[in-house]
Amino acid sequence: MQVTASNKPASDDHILKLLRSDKTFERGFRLLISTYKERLYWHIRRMVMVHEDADDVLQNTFIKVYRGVLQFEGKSKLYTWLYRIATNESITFLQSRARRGSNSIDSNDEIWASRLKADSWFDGDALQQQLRDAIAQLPEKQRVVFNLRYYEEMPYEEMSTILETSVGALKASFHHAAKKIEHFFREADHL
Amino acid sequence: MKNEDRLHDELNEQAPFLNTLKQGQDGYQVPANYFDNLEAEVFRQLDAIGATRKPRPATARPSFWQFMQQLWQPRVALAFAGLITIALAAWWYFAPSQTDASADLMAAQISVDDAEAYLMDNLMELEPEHIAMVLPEESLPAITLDLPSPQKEKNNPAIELQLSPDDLENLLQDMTDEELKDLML
Repeated sequence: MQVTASNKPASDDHILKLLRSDKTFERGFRLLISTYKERLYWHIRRMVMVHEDADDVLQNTFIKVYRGVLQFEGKSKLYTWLYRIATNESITFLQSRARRGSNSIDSNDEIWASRLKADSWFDGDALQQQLRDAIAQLPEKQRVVFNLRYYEEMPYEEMSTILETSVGALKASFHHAAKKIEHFFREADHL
Repeated sequence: MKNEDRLHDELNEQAPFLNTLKQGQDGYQVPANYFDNLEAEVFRQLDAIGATRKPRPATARPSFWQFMQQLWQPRVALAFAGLITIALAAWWYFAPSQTDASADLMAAQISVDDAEAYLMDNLMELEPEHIAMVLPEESLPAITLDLPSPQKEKNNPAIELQLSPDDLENLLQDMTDEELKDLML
């Protein structure tokens, strides 16, 4: 969490107050970026996996936030709204990449595998690399649920407001994702 | 129960291997200073696509001298002069011409005798009120006035004078040249 000059975390209320005035809008937006950049980056990075792609998606997310933050009505928490935008941007990116892959001579899996290998900002061991490959094979929605639960340890209730899906459906989604990953490792003789 | 503990139990139940894997790092890294430079990069992108919000300048009311300076700009002054020209031309064109009747009479060079003869010939055409208006006050009591009752006045507000032709002729005989001129107007 970003710490302000007064040594207190920047609250959503304070950020929104700054954003609502023309004079302090830019300061508020800079505070929003510094408060949420890391959390949103890691959320996006685990979705799209490659750093360059995560950088593009994160910047698009902030541009959308910049353009739309005045329409934010405060019905949900600010970070819930930010996560929703970041998630949608990530899914849109993955879907467009899948479409590009389907038009190519090489299969989507081959392109994706070579892209993951070329990512110089990943230095995990063999098991971590396999876990990343297994997650990469999950459908987009299952990938979101798995990442939010497994890496960010987000409660289902909170996830439900971000993804606008029932808690029961999210639990089922996580269960299926975990089983698929376990199956992936079993086939690779790690279990 | 804490959320972390619930996740631990959930993973133990569904995928114990994933619980073991979770103990270590995930292997993802970012370039040095990436997060420090991110803010500037976002604003550079916003500038590039022209999305940056410009704070609205304060709208101060112009001072009297600023207003005058604006007024005396050639464009405004020209428009102002044009308006005045049009207004003057309209006034000159539409204003009613006020001709002096007595001046007209003099310009026509009509003598007093001619005027008296004209009036005598057209005595019956004259309205009694017109004759009464030019009479000297001392001659008025001699004239029989049929003053209207309030009700009659309400219906016909004009005051009616009842004068016989002989009365009128006598009156004209007594009138001075100036009075006759006024009657002709």
